[in-house]
Amino acid sequence: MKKTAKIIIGVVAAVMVVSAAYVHSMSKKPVVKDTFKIGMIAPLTGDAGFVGVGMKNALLMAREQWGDGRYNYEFVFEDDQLDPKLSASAAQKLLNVDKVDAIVTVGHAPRITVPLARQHDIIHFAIAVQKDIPDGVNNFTHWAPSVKLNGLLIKEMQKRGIKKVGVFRTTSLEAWVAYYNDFLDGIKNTDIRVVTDQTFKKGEKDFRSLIARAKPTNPDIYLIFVETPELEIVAKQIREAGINTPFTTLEGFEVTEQPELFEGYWYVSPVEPSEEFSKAYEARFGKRPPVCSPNAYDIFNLLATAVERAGSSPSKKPATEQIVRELKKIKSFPGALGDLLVSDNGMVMSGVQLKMIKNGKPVALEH
Amino acid sequence: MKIEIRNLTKRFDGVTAVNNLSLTLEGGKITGIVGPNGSGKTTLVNLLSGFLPIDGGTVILDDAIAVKKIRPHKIKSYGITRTFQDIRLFEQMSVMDNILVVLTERNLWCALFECHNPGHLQKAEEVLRMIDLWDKRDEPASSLSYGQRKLLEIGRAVSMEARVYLFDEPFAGLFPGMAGIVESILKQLRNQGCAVVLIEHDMDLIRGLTDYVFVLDSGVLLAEGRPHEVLRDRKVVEAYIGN
Amino acid sequence: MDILTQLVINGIIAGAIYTLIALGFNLIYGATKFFNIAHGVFAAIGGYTVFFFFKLSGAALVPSILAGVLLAGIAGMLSDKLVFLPLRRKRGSSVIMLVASLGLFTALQAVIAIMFSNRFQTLTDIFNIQKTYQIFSGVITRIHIVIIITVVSLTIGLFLMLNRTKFGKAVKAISDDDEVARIIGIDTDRVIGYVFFIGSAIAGLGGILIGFDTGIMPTMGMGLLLKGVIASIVGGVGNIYGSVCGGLLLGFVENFGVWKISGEWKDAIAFGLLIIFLLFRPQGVLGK
Repeated sequence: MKKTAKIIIGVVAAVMVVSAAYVHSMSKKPVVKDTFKIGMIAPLTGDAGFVGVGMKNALLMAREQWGDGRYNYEFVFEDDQLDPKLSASAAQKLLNVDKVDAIVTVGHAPRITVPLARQHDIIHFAIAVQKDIPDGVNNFTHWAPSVKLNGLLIKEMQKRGIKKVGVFRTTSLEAWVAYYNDFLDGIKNTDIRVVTDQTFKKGEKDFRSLIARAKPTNPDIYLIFVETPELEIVAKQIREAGINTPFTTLEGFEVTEQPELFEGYWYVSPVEPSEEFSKAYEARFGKRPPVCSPNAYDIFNLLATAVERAGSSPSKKPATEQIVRELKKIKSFPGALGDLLVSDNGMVMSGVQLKMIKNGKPVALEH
Repeated sequence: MKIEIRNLTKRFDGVTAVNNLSLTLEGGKITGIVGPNGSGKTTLVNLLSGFLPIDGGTVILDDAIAVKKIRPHKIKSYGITRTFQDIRLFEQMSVMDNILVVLTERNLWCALFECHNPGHLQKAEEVLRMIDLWDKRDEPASSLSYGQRKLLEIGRAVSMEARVYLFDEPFAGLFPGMAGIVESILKQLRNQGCAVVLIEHDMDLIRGLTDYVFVLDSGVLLAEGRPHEVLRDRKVVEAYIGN
Repeated sequence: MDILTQLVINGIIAGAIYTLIALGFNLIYGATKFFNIAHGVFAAIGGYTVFFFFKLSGAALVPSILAGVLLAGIAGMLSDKLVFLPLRRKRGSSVIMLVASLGLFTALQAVIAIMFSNRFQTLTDIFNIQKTYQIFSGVITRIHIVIIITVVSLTIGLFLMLNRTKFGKAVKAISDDDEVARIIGIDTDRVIGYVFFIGSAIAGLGGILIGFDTGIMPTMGMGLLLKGVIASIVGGVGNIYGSVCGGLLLGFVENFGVWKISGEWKDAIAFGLLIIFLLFRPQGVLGK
């Protein structure tokens, strides 16, 4: 018994020593996680400041929800005030000083960042509509694709028997030009025709003579491709010219401050962010998520998913090429903007929605 | 009316155009100011009419008001007016308006809403008839001949009803007929008791018209006195020939 | 709707708006002989004053408009007293005055943006569709009729003021030769101050009317000023009637121009007209 007791004590002691040593060695030598750095270029101040702040909030929220992953995720936020000059210097700083692994952009920054992403071989995620920005190698976009938006727009026109479309659009912004070109492509094999195409520069306030030109063509609907305030001014002046033809657009009507002008008119826009995302955002930041914030949220989740799948060791983050390979494997992903699919050419395909202004509020329609 | 100038000085970039000059211009007299080119005659007129700021000295009006700084728009209230060697009219306005514009009161509300009263129109007619431009009253000033412009400028000065008139070469380039009109205007002003100052190169005119003469040379007073005496003065003759 | 009739109406409307800016600009240019860039910002001041009183504070319309016109006028007069008059006293060249006015423009525009944000605002409660009237085969809105009537009355008013009143003669005298104007007893500094008041008040009224037609932005001044300046030069700079001729010509050329070519060319057409006039008739339609 004495001997047995000694053995037990000896074993316990040995176990304690060994485990103490093990615990000691564990605390002394933790696993060193590598850090994946994500830069963001967006307006954080000025008129469009709410966009960048929403994106920043969404990124921070996504990281909090992600919790303790295989790697650390660090953000560097740059304010470009929607000024291309500042976008360019912000991109240079992120790449050369902060040495980020990925950049998220919006506004003028996407166009500027595309070649730099290739040059530095990093991942660039743009919240942008232009088709030539994503390349599936370094550059990706996450915005409802123009082709999908236009597809639904054209489908609805056909459903409603619309044949003659009158267009008022600005040529000053790339996104609207891109939308219009895709619209033209989309109607090629349909019986829809553009009967009048009136173009103008951003900042124009007097559309009366363009309207006088468009009026005799008697379109079934006016498609307006410009944002506020020109959107409202065009609409108002069309009405003042005694024309009662309905209006439609992509995205536009829901941000107007004069919904009365568009009451009862349908339009197409990207899907609403999920209730889950909206509620979480509102609980965390006290307001509704602004435009682009669900996109930023999804971008973080897509990136982090691909990074963790591609990585082999926590101490060494994967190379861009490996991450991209994993990114493009994502074909169904539950995002804030619905079920997401990353196409081979680098576009995140999210959903589009048919909407209508009812009692001054945008309402989703079945389609 | 009397203007007393004491120690008046004006410098341009180191050149003293008027140097410590003291003289008195009296009412009821035509005072000639003569001197070679660059002697400071026009500078003196420019100083008295506020066109140039005074660098030193005092101007005493009627033994009462001592002025060291003359603002151009104040000279009307001092009773001073002038004409220019190079004629300066209001070219955009009609001949009539060139006269009427000086007959205005400057109270804003009157100026904004009041048209000219019959007194002004009568005065303008009187002046225009005197300088023989009544028939041209509605034509723009820019359409007049050289001599007519010269007369209109003198007419404008006369309609200001000043007490001191500074005429800078009013006869230059005029035909005898027009020169006669100017001469009679000058005499008329003298008879009204005004101080008439005449800057002139033509010594015959100075002899025939002036009551008193100041001769300037390089900004200082060279001589003064009755024209016949002064113009015989050796210093004066030398100053002209030597120039 | 006959397109030609409508284009004529549109040309008159646009011309009236340009005239509104050019009138005050030319009045001030006539008296001071410099390009007062700051002139455009007084339109914004007028518009924002009405925005503040009428839309934000709920004051009645007519007092708000009077306040807007008055404040624009006072701001114009102060700009003369605080900036341009000291520069004139120092015999600042017209280039220095122009640069100073550009600086003043930028500063005042920034102040408006700080106070009211950079956003586009409307003066009416909602984007109310104006009541329209039929003229031959074209349409015109009520606010445009108001603008046209305003321009016609202002032009007649300025004509009477300049030609029939003593004040007008003083302004013309200063415009002709400000030194001589002084020696005949015109207090040119004061008269120019009033000219700034009148000119800027007209610009303020223009800003208000444009605000009721489309809307206001702090940056609205530059666009208006440029069109006003083109109208002035085309019509004859410094000439009040030139403002009307130039404004109408510019309005017609722009509106008939976009009849056959697309709308982005509008500014190019306007500046093209300016260059043609600068090259071939720099004194403008009416001359000085």
